[in-house]
Amino acid sequence: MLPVVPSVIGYVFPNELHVTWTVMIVLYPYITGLVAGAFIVSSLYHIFGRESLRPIARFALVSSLAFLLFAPLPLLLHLGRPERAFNILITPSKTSAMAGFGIIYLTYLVIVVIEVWLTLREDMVHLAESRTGFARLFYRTLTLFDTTIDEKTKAFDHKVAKFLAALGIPVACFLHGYVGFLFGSIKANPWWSTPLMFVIFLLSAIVSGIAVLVFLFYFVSWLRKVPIDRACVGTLASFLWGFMIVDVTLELLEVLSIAYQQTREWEPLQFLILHKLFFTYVVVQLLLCSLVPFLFLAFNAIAKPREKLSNVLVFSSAVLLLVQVISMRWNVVIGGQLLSKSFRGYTTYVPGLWNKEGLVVAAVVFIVPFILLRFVDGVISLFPADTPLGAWWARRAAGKTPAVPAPFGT
Amino acid sequence: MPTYARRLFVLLVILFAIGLTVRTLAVPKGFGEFGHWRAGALAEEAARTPTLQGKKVCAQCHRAEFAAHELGPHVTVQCEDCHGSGAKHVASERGSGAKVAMFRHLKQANCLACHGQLLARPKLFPTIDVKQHFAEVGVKDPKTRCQECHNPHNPLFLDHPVAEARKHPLIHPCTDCHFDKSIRTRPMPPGHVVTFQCKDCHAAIVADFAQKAHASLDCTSCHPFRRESQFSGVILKTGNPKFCLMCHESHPFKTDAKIPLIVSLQGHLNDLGAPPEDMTKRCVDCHLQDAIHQTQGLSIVETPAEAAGAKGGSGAKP
Repeated sequence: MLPVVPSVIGYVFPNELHVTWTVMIVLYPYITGLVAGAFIVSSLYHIFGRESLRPIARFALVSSLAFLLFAPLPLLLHLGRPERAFNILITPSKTSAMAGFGIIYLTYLVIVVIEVWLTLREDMVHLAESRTGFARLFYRTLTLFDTTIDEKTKAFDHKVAKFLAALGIPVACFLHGYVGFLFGSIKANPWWSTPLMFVIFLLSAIVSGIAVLVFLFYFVSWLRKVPIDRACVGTLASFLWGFMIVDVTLELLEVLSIAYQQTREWEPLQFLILHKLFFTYVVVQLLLCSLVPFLFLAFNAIAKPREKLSNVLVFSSAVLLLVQVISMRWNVVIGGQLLSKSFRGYTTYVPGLWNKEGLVVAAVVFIVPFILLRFVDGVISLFPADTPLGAWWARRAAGKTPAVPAPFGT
Repeated sequence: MPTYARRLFVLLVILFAIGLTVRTLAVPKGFGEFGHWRAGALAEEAARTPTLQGKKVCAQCHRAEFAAHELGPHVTVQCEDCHGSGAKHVASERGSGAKVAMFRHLKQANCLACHGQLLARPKLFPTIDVKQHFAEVGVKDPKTRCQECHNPHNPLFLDHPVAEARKHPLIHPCTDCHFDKSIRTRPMPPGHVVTFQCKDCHAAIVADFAQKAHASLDCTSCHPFRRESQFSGVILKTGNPKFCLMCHESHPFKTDAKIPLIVSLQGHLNDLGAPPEDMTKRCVDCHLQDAIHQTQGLSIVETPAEAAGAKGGSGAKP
């Protein structure tokens, strides 16, 4: 007998015993959310003129690209025949939601790559001119063998980057809203089928995107022993607080509306929430990772605590909100599959550890974009030169603090 | 426009052109002609030579196996489901070239592909957990092949075709829904959904069976129910001694600590000193009453109206 037997409650259709969409499908909207969220942060500076976010705007943009490049990886790992995935790009079907995602993904990729290139071009030119040998060739190739930098080119770059950033906002919203659409449009599943799913996914994406940037900003500053840019972190914390309020409110309203309407779905969903998902939804997602960061960020915004305490509050809130969003993804993706279509039974999902869609592979997939970011940081500074982190990079490039080796030498 | 911007534009155009070229080359010929699929696939599929022959082709040579197969519950299973596709074998037998043998020696895994216990399988379909099954029937060698006891062509050694078996309403043993077999001995809780079980009609036999040596078995262990529709099926019954010997025949891979074993029916009858006229007796001719269940006592549950009629006398049949 299969080991799953004791974990089945009530009546479950035979094809529902096995949870098909695994932790990889949890990771897919999570990484896609980080893409959209990080891009929104960069746009807050580039489009909406939030000057205090300048130290992190470029880093946010490159982070968005790094996450974007690996967003489809969990999906490919989930597939038995991943090479067939390219058929949705070669022969896209008009009725396939996933084919639509392929087109939106490609469009967004082109926009972000060009915007990143234009944003980093000036630094590439400086590096190309200050290097010799292979490093020079590498940087010159990145500049497309044109190292012209003057007021005209700067104005042109800024203008085009701003246009792309403006274009990128709706595309980024589409990109992640679309992931919500993939779930929200599955009408047979009462835990997924709600038009609010698009909005909730988008807002949680922004929350996770800001949270990961706060986390990385603190982490990199701590690693390089440079002072924290308080203005930048303060603005990020304010936005994080605001977006998490709207996000969590909508998440609660969605459940509350079903509960208040007392539709026939509510009874099984109530059991799902209070039993099968009690720990991951009620304890982790709502109490620990929503209520606690809300209180921390509210205290930080209203009481203006000392710098050290503020840093602790903001950093821990960012970490908790990162966990909040992944637990939200887990509760949506896995939770929706635990409830039987009979509405009378529940199955259980325990992820494997070492298998293809297990936790170790998921952790590796999640870490890879961060490794890429580290690699890019070795090639080119992701922070403006006049910020503490940018100055650190310049000092290292000049050979004064060779703590972290650059891939192509200095 | 600066030079680098023009170069970027050219690069994008080149990438776009490469993408278009790849797409043009990658889209299969005829794709989209009739729908979102390759039109040529139809002709390609139609042109393929079938490798499966069908059991009637097998029956032309393997008459004995086919005759046994037609009696048993595997009647709906094609020969090639177990023996592999027969095109090369049939062609080689009909021609003069080298003979191509069929796949013959089934492993446990071959049988378990259908009969392994899975939650997704209907409970009325015979499935086993090998370890549990071997423990129940006293098989000590875990690698024992299924066909050491079961004849795959007629696994229950039926004497009459399944199609001629007695029609029977749908029954629901407790283990249809409950996984734990000990559920059979527990009282049904109040408010439990009404299910149709063996004891509802065969109360006396079931009660008697519970006192006999085979009481640990389900009724359906010896009288398998074969579901045919949402409401009914057939009960398979056999008096063939080979059916009993599946459990009671001695083999090196079996332990006699669990189930009484005999070397062979003939030897058993000889040991008992049976007279010549008894040498054709079947197991059930001697052991049905003492070891399995009584033969009399088919009791039909009375409806409340019938019961009332019987008590009051009104409406009683003359």
